[in-house]
Amino acid sequence: MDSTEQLFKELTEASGVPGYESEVRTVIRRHLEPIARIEHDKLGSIIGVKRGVADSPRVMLAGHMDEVGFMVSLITDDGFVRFVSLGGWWEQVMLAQRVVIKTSAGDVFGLLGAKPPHLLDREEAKKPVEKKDMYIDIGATSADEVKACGVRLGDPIIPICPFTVLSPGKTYMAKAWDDRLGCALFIQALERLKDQEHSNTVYSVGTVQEEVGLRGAKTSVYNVNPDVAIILEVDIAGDVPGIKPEESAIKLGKGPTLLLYDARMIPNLRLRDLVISVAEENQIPLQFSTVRGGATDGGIIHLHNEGVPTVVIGVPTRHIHSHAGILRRDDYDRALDLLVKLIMRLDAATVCQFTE
Amino acid sequence: MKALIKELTEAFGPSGSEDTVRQIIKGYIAGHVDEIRVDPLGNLIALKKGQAQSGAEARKIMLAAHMDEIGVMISHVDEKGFLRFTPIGGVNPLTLLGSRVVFADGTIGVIGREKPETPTEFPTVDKMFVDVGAPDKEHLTRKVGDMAVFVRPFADLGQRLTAKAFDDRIGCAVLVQTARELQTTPHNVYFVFTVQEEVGLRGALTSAFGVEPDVAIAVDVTGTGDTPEAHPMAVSLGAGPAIKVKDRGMLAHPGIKNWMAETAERLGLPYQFEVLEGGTTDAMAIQTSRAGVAAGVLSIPTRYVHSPSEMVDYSDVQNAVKLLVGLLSAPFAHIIA
Repeated sequence: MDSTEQLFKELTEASGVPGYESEVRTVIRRHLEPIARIEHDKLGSIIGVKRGVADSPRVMLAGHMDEVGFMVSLITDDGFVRFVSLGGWWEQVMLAQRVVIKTSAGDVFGLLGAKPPHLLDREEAKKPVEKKDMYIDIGATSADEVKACGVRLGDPIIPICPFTVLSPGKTYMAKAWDDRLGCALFIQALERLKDQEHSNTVYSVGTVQEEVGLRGAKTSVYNVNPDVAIILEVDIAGDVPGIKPEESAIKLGKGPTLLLYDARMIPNLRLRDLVISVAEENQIPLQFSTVRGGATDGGIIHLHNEGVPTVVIGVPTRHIHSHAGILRRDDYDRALDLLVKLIMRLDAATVCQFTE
Repeated sequence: MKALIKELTEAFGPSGSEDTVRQIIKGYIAGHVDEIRVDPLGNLIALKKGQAQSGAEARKIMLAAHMDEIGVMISHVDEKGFLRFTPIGGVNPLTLLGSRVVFADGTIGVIGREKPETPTEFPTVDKMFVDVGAPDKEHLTRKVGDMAVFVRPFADLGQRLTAKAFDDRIGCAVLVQTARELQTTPHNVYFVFTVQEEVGLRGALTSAFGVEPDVAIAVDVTGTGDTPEAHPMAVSLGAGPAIKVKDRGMLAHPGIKNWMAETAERLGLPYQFEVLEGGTTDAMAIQTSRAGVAAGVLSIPTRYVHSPSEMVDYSDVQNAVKLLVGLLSAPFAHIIA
C-alpha cells in the first residue's frame, strides 16, 4: 500500500458516528501535527492551520469526520439491542449487516437481525422492514447478558467494512468515504503545500456532526472566520444500473465534480468559474453536479456572518450511506491536484474579486 | 415609477445570479444615498444617514427587499440537446407548461414534457425539459448549471400592472422610490436589496448580520383572497398596502405593526392587516439575527404569486412608498414597550 492507501485505511476504519468522532480526530491530528498548528472548536471539530506567505485570505477547507451509523437506545428483556439512526439510512441496505458497538468495556460485535425466508409469508416478504422494528443481535439471551458485555444506552454503533483494495492503485471499497475522503484531501493538500509559497493561510477543518444537520460547520466556521471556503465531499455516482442520466450523470473515473446546486447552497459564481478555469488550464477533467435532495457543510459555512464565497468539490462515490462505498483513485488524485492548484490561486486580489 | 417597475421586472435575476438587478438599482439610487456597498453574498446595502434631531433618538432601520426571482437550473443535457432542469425556488410545475424561459445571455427555451400516462396526470418537473431549439448536442451552447427565468414582458393595465417577478422586484421598486423621495430622516436608514430569498432567506441572514439594525421592515408581496373561489384571505388588490401580522415563518413585532398602522392613520393612507397562511419573507431571518431584531413586513397585495404573470394594483405600490416615507421622516417614541 502506498501512503495514500495507508491514509485511506486509517481514516475509513476509524469509528466516528456523529458526536463520537474522537478516533477520527486522533488520526487527523497525527497527520496534521507535523505540518500545521492545531486548534479545536468546542463541539469537537479539529482545525489545522498552515500559514503561507500571508495571513489572509483565510482559506477554509472542510470535510466532516462523522459517518452514518447508529446509537443504542434500548436493551430488550430477551437480550436484543434497539437503536436510533445517526444520519440517513435506507432500510433496504440495513438488514443482515454486521456492526460493532463501541462500549467502554471494548468492542461488541453484532448483526442487524432479519427473519429467515422460511418463516416469511408471501405478503410479508414483499414489504421492507421498518427501522423501528429492527434490532441488533449480539448473541445474548437476556438483558443481563447484554449489560455484562458492557453495552450501555448511548453507545455508538458502527458498520463493519475493512478498507479493501479492489484493484491495486485503482479502485477501493470502504465504509465512511462520506466524508473521510474529504479528510484525506485536506490532509494531503496541506502536505503538498508544505514547501510551496501560497499567498494565503489554509485552515483544514475536520467538522463534526454533519450527518445530523451540519452542526460542526456552524461552530468551526465561527472559529476560522474564513474569506473563502472549499467543501470537500463525496458526490453521488449515477453510473450504476437503475439510475437515469437525468437523475445523476456523474461517473466514476471521469474526474472530480463541482456542485452547481444543492438543497442548501448556490455557490459563489466567480469562485465557481475560477475552479472551472483552473481545471481547464491544468487539463483536469471536471464533472458538474446538481443535487436536489442533499446538502453539505457549505449550506452553513457560506452564510457565516456577512457571507463566505464557497464551493463544493466532490469525488464520485457509489453506494454512499450504506456499509460500503466504492471509488476510484484517479478521481481522488485529480481532486487533490485541482484543490492544490486552486489554493495556489487564492491570493488577496483574487478572493476580493469574488465579492466585488 | 412605472418605467422603474418595468425595467426591474423584466431584468434577469434568479437566486444566486442577481448582478443585473443590482446594477439597475445602483443606477437609480446613486446620489440619493450616502454610502453603497455589496456584501460577500451579493446583497446591495445602501445607507442614507440621518440628520440628528434634538430630543429624538436616532435608530438604525433596515428596509429589505429581495432582488432574486424563481427560475430553473439546467441539471442534465441529453444526446439530442434537450435540457433537464431543477427548480430554483418554489416553481409551480403547472405554470411551466407552455412557458418560455430565457437564459442570462438572452437565449430562449420552451418547456416541453414527456407524454403523460393519463390525460389528467399532474405534470412534475422531472418529466419536463427545456428545448432551446438546438438540432443536436453538438450545436448546443447551454451547459449544466445555467439558469433561466420566465419570459414575460411587463404590461400596464391602467390601474393594475402585470409582470413576472413582482415577487420581489415590486419591493425593490418601492425601496428605490422611497430612497429617492425621502428628503430628510432622523434615522440611519439602510436600504438592503437581498439575494437568494427564494431558496431560503440566505441574503437576509448575512445582510442583517452586517447591518445590525435596531428595527427592520421587509417589503415583499403577499397573496390575496379576492379572485373567484380563492382560498379565504382578508387581503384585496387596491385596498392599500398590507401590514403583516403573521405568516408561516414569523409573527411581526407588535410595535412595528402598530407603528405602521398608526402612521397610515395619521397620513390618511389606506392599509389592511395581513394574516398569511403559507410562505414567509426575509423578515423571518432578520428577526432572529444576532440578539434579535424588532421586525415587521409591509406587503404589496399580489395575485398569482410565483406564476409568470403576477398582478398588483398601482395605488397599493404608491401608497406603500408614501407610508414608508412617512415612517422614516419622523422620529418614533416607542416601538419596543
